[in-house]
Amino acid sequence: MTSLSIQNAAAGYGHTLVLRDVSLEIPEGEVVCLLGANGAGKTTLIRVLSGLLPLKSGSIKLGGDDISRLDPISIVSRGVATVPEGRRIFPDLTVRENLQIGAYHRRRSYAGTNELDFAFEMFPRLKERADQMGGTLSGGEQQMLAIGRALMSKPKTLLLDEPSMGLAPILIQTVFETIAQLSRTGITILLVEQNAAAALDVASHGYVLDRGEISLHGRADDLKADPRVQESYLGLA
Amino acid sequence: MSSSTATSAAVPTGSTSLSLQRSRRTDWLVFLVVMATFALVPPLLGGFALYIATIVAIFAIAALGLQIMVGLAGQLSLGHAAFLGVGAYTSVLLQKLYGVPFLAAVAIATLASALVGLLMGQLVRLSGIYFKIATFGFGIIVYQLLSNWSSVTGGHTGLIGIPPIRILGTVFRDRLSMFIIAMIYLAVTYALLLRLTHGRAGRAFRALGQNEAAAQSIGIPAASYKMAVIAIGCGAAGLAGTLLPHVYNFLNPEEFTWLQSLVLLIIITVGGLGSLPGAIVGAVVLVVVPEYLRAFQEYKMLAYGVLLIVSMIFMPRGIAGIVQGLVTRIRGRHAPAETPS
Repeated sequence: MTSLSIQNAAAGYGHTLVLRDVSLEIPEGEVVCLLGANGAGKTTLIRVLSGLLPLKSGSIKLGGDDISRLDPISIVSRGVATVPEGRRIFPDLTVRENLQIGAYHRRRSYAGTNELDFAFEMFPRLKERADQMGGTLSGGEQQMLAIGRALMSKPKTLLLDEPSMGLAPILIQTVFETIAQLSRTGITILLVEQNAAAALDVASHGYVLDRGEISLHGRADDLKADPRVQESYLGLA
Repeated sequence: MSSSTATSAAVPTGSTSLSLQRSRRTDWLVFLVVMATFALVPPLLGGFALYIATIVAIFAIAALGLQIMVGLAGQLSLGHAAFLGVGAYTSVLLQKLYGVPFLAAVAIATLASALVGLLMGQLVRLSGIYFKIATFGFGIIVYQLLSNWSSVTGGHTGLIGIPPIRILGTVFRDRLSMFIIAMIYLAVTYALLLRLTHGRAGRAFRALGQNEAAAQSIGIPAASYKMAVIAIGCGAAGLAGTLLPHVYNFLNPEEFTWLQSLVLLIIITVGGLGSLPGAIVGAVVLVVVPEYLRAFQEYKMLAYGVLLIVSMIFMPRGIAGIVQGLVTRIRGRHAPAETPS
C-alpha cells in the first residue's frame, strides 16, 4: 500500500495561495499525469509533495501514513523521489558522482552500488559517460541523469516535473518510453507535463490543474476524448 | 519501512569505489607535496622568507575556509576579512585583558568567529545576490566597530604590546617558531577541510554550490548546510586572524578592510575555485609577489585587478586547473585512458 493521496491541499508563497483546494489520488503502480498551463500550480504541487513547501491546509498520505509535515529527506527515505523541473544536475560532478549523490539520504557515501547498476542498465548511455562531467552531457542525457539520480534512492514513487521540457522531439519520445519502462518495474509515477498528448498516452489517469484547483480528472482515455481537454491542451478544436 | 537496510550493508565493489579511492589518494598526495614544499623551502631561504611564508600561511588558512564556502558551496562572501579581524581582536584581547592562555584564546576566538558568521547567516537569511551584498555590508560594520570602539580596540591607532605566544610556559617569538606554528595551523586546517570534502558533507556542499534546487530535491537540507559552511569558512578566517597580531606585533583595523576581503577572493579565484591546494598556491602568489614589487605599492590594487581579469580569461579554473590539465595530458600520453567496454 504505497498509493499517494492528497486531500484538500492548499499552499502558496507568503500571502499568495497558489494551490487552493487540490485533491489527487495516485494508485500504487500507476502513472498519473497532471496537466495544466503555466502558472497553474503544477510545480508548487511537486514542491509540496517533496516537502520543500509546507501545506497551509489539507493533508498528504503515503500508503495511509500522513507525510504532510515531513522534511524532504524523510520523504526521500520513505521512497518518494523527485526529478525537478529543468534538468537540474550537478555540472561539475561526474555522471557517476551525480548518481551517487542521489543515495545521499542513506548516510553512507558509497551506498547504492546496486542502484548504480540499475541506473546504468536503465540508461546505458550514462554508463558510457560515467566519468564525464555532468555539464558536458547533452540536454537529453542530462534529463536521463536527473531521472537516474532520482532512481538511486530506490523510490517506490517518482515525481517527474516536466521531463520533456526543452527537449528535441526524438528525445521527448525517449523520455516517455523511459517513463513507460519505469512504470513496468512497478514504480508509482506522478507525471507533471505540458505535453498533454504524450502524457495521456503513458498515464492511466489524469488531472487538470487550473489556477490552483483541479478542474477535471478521470481516466486518461476519457480525458483524451474530452472536448475541453482537446481544445485547451491537445490543440484540437 | 525504509529499504536502506538491505543495501547499506553491501560492500562497495568495482570501479565505483576505485575511482573514488584514486581521487582521494591523489588529494592526499597533493597535500603532502604542498605541505612538504611549504615546510622546506622557506627555512632553506631563511630570514625574511620565513616571515613572508608565515603571512602566506595565515592568508592560506583564511582562503581555505573561503574556498569551502565560496568555491565549493557557492556562498559568496564579500566581507571575509572581517572574520580575520574578529579572530585577531578576540584572541589578543582575551590574552591582554584577561590573561587567557594562548591556545585557549585561539580556540575561543575561532569559535567566536564561527558564531559571528552564523549570526551573519541568520541575520541575512537571504539567497543569491542579496546574501552577497549583505556580507559586504557586514564586513564594513565589523570594520567600523573595530575602528570606532576605541576603549576596547584602540580605534584607528590599534593595539600595541601584543603578548608573545606562550604555550605551556615556553615563549615563542622568533621568526622560525612563528613559522612552525603557522605551518602547524595550516596543516591541521588543510587536513581537516580535505577530510571534510571527501565525506558526505563535502558532497552536499558541492551539490549545494552547483545546483541548490537539485540538492534539495534529493533531500539535502540546504539551509542547514549553508549555515554549516558559513560557520566553517568564518571559523577558519578567525583562526588565521589569531596569528596575525603576533606576527605583525601590532593590531589595527586597516588589516580588515573590504580590500582585504577582495584579496582573499582573488586568492581563491587565481588559485582555482573549488580547489584546496589552489587556495594555498593563490595565497603564495598574492602575498609573495607584492612583497617584491614594493616600489610599485600604489599600483597594487591595479595589479590585482589585472591579475584577476587575466586569470579569468586565460585560466578560468585557476592555477589548480592548469596543473590538473597538465597532469591529465602527461598521464594520457603514458597510459591511454581506459575505454568503457
